[in-house]
Amino acid sequence: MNTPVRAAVIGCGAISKEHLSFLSDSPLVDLVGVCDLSEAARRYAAERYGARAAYGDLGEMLTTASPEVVHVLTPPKAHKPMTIACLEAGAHVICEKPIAHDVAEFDSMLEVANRHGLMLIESQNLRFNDVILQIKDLIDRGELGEVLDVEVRISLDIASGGKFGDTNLPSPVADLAGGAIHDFLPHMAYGALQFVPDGPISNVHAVWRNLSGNETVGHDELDAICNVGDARIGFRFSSVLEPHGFRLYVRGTRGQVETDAYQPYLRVEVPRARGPLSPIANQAQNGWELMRSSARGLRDKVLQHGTYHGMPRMLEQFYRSVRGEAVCPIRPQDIRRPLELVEAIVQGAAVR
Amino acid sequence: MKLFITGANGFVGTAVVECALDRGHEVVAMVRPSTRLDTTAWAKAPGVTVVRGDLRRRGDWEAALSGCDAVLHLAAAGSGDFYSQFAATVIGTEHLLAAMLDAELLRLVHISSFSLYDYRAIPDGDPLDEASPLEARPLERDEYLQTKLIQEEMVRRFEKEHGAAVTILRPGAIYGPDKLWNAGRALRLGGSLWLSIGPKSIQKLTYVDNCAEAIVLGAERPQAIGQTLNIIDDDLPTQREYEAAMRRAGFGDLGRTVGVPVPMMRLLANSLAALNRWRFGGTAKLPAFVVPAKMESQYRPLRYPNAAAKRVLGWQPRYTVDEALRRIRAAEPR
Repeated sequence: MNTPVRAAVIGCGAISKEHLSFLSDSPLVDLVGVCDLSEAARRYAAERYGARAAYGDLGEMLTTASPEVVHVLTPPKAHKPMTIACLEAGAHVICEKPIAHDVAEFDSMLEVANRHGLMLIESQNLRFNDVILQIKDLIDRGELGEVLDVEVRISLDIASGGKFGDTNLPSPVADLAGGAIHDFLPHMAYGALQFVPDGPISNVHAVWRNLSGNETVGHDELDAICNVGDARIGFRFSSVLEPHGFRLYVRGTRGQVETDAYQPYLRVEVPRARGPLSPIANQAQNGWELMRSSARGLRDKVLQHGTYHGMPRMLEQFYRSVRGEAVCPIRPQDIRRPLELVEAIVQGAAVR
Repeated sequence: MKLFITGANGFVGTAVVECALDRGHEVVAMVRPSTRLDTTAWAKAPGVTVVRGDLRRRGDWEAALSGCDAVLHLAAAGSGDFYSQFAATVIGTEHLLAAMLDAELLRLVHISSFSLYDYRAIPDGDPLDEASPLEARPLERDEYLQTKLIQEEMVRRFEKEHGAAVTILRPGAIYGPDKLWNAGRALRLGGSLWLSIGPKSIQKLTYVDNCAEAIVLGAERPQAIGQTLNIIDDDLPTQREYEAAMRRAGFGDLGRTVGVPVPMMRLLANSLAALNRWRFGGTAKLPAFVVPAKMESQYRPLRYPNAAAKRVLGWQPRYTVDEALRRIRAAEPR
């Protein structure tokens, strides 16, 4: 039987809860250390999640705890130096999104990983959510035909306070090129790209705005379209539109599907019967599905099966891949392509 | 004395600044960078220096600690998810204590919370005092309790490791303008009808101006150093008595309440908890008033002596419930 993989975490902020919950419970893992500049934060994380030790210095943790895997959960500007330090110390790295500011930065990090024969992945947990896996399955079975159109629409008030719009303490992501929206772009980009055939990115049009007047968030509205090969991808992020949602529309040559990552449901329109009966069959089936979704939504809320439920699936597969029992859940191109798309949207942007 | 007050523009902070000025102290009032003080009465008072900063980040505000005689630490988060409360309450305190060490200022009056106690460990009808045990299972309670507990532990380490002169005050439910704690109402059932749990339970109340005076006395009185004191008013009312006092003070339509005795609510909460453990492994998230640990912390019928605070601080709560509610009512815009 394989021994548990020695794992450590650098950065004990809010997202660490999702990683540490898995690390403390999984038999695949031995949580050998947590690290944070704040003594209070690292002490809490170590006690709450049963880490063997708490460190205030990454170098000391790497030397003393000798982790085989490090989760880099710091603010984005520290991702590169922290990741490279971990890779140079011989640890695989799973890094929170956005893993890098641009493709060149990611390539430099990946070069170090490759040189040491180590895995470097970005946390792309939404790939492993129930509804996303269901859509992938529909596409793989050919139910939607060739996917030629994907839209991602997020409505979330990031400007009225909270971790992004707090005028007293600007968010660490606010200095990214896309402001606070940049923190969501990796999800939008890999969320869309995973459904379309690979191809060159072209015809990028992006409009960034600030409607709230809260300069802390940078931009709070984004409207972007582009082509990837023959497919069209559209992104819309709004801080003012209600209700809050993370809608995904995937349209193919045979049918289409829509879902919401925050309030999951699945509306699938595919040929179900001959001629005019197909729309009626679709409506009946989707009406039934919508009712079931509302019951599931209530159950998920009570049982705390939230937006991060794909995280333990992703981490489990990653740790199994470290042990040689599975393939790595996220390949370098799964990180590089979304970075290319984000970079194109940021650079090709018309800002007003 | 020259008092450095964090959270100076908050609900309690405002009362503490005003009380400190009334008692002849000089005040360094720390408020967050974007706080507007246009309508804050004390902001332009002589004897007040306003310092802007956010405790979640170390910065220029720390220089204002030099020359102060004591810190009255009130700033904390009262709502939000765990990590936002952790940042404001715990990280903020961590930065404050580090800055105090740098400034060689080691006198601290820390405002902790009455919520820290382990209410389930105290039998119905017994007194809850400073010797009562603290919550042993914080994960069954809310984020506020969890972060305030970590914060107080941190302050105790500061006291022990650095020989700091610390006074810890644990106020009960503080009521005042815009915060009346409407007599233990748990849930709006519809229209003006409310569910009230434990209508005969004594309320662990302290009026904001009474509490503020205790906090300032905490800094003034050398006897308070090294002490942990509950701040609770005299003559505490039951929920029903408090509601009657509100009516006497002229608060108009309070609606109607359906009173549920605590034992009945306990039976319901414990049954749901057993079902949750059996059917869902305890993962189901239910409303606070049917979660045993949270329900008991709010509604368990206990007594709340305040002799220690009165003796050590030389404190006498200045206003009765009736007087306090009349003052609140009189200050409301008509």
